[in-house]
Amino acid sequence: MLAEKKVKATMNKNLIGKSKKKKHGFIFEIKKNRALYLMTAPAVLFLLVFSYYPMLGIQIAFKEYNIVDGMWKSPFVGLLYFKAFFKSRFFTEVTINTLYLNFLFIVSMTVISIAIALLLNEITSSKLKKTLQTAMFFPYFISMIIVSAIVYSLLNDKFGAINALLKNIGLQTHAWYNMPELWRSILTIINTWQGFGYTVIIYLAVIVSMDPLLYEAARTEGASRLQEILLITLPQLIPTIIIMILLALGGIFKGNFGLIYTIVGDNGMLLGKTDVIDTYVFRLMRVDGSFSLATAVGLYQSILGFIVVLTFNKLAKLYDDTMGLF
Amino acid sequence: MKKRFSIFNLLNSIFLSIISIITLLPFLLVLGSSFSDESSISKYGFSIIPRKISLAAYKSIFANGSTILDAYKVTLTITIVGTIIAVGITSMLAYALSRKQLKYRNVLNLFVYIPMIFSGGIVPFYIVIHKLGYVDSIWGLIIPMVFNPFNFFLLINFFRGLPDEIVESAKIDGAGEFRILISIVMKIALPGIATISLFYSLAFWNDWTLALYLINKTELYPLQFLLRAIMQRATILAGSNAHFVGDIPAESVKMATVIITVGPILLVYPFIQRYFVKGLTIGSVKG
Repeated sequence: MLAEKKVKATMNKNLIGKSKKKKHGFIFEIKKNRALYLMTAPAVLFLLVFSYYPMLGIQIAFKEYNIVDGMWKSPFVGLLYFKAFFKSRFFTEVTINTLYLNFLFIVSMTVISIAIALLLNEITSSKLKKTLQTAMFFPYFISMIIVSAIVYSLLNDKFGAINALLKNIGLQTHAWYNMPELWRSILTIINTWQGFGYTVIIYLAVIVSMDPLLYEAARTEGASRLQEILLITLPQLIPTIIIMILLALGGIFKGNFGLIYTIVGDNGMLLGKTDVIDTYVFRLMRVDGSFSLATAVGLYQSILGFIVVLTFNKLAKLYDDTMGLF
Repeated sequence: MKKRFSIFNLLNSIFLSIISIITLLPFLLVLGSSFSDESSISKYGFSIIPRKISLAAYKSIFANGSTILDAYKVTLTITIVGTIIAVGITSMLAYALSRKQLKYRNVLNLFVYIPMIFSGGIVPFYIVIHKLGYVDSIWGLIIPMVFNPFNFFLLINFFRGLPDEIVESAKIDGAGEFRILISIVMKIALPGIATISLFYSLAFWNDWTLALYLINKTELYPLQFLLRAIMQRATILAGSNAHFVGDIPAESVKMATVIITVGPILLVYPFIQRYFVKGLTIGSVKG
């Protein structure tokens, strides 16, 4: 405290010479740096229109929204739509589906990416390493529409390549799009296939930046490759793993809308196992036109997601103070 | 040292090569099927190596009216115009907030960060873009995507790495902020600009959700959205040419449209992917 006062005192002394500028007000600052603030204007305007104004739109969840009155003047109905959602069968169905699918996505993505990153790091030829990495990264660059077309080319029951293969080797073909029990696994495989190249790059970047002295020391002690991986690389990777999982958990109530919407679509047969909050909200909005209920469910999703992030951030910080996103 | 476990190295290389090939196999399947003639697809299904090579699918796509060319024009327009605007907005903000003289830069940083963790959901967003008159307008496919906080944080990492002296000396020479940004900072931080340009172009090229919300007119369909429509109903290509409907080789046309849509990405991918890797690497090691 005392030191702080001293610093302030010396600062004041230094400022005496230009005492007129001592109290820099808001307007003064804007005027002084007007070119710079002008540069921030388009982005600020963008966020106000497309992010902050829609946040005010959350009030629709508590109102009986109609287009004529708009989001400000529609009549207030309190928690009516939240109650309706919590009473419906969709509450448990979409919540469980969302959590279950995301759990499968996160576990599969994390385990496979780390394993591949560790193995890629062992490859000594940098040319081969780059080529492999390039191949694995490619699916990340294509849109979900392309992904759904690819899934169609594999799983369609009449023309799909998998059924053609099964027929060729004399096995029973299947109507894959009619087998709901398989779809959580199928979606997990597709999601991992499309995204693992991306996470591998992040893990690999961290592994490459690790201190080579540690490995040299381990080698002079006679450590094997496996021991190096398990005792040096993996422990140092833990902070990154935790951050990656935290980021993924932030979206645990979101459902990779594109993936499920483009591949499963309105296939009623599969919805019981694959309908997530995002697809349900979209259907409420576009098919049923019930904007208020859709907003209520969306708000439920945002709040739960926010709580999950805060909780796991706290847990990560309890484990190690330097961890966590904020 | 490198010779240790050479058998392990060999098996490891083989294993990872197999994984890479499996990753790319579905693309070869689509490619092969797009060059296959329709009757062998309906008989034997899609296959990587076509039983009978045929260009019928591509011919019918380009013969039946201008639908696919329109979609190409729409996608090219939104990608080029969108990326230019987006890179402009993002680099201006990143430059301003990387200047330490800006008193409110932390407040503004927070202002950009909050939307990354909390959003109003799709319903209010949907209402806003409809209110702005974006239904069946090409601007509706551009404007709602011209800023992305993720790209901003990526770029500001590049800008912060630049030494302050460069900007200061330019100022002494009498250059204004806009000139410093365009003729000095953006040139020095070119790898950063290239990275976010690619991120933005890819996002514009691949987007279909805005079209899903806004576009009803077929001639304003972007490529991705047209592909979706074709996957559901291959005859959409025929347009008003009703007599074509029966002649369309439906299944190979679907696969050929996939190839046409993904083709440009496939062509530039080998040259641009290192920028993505670099961008991600900087983001992950620093952040």
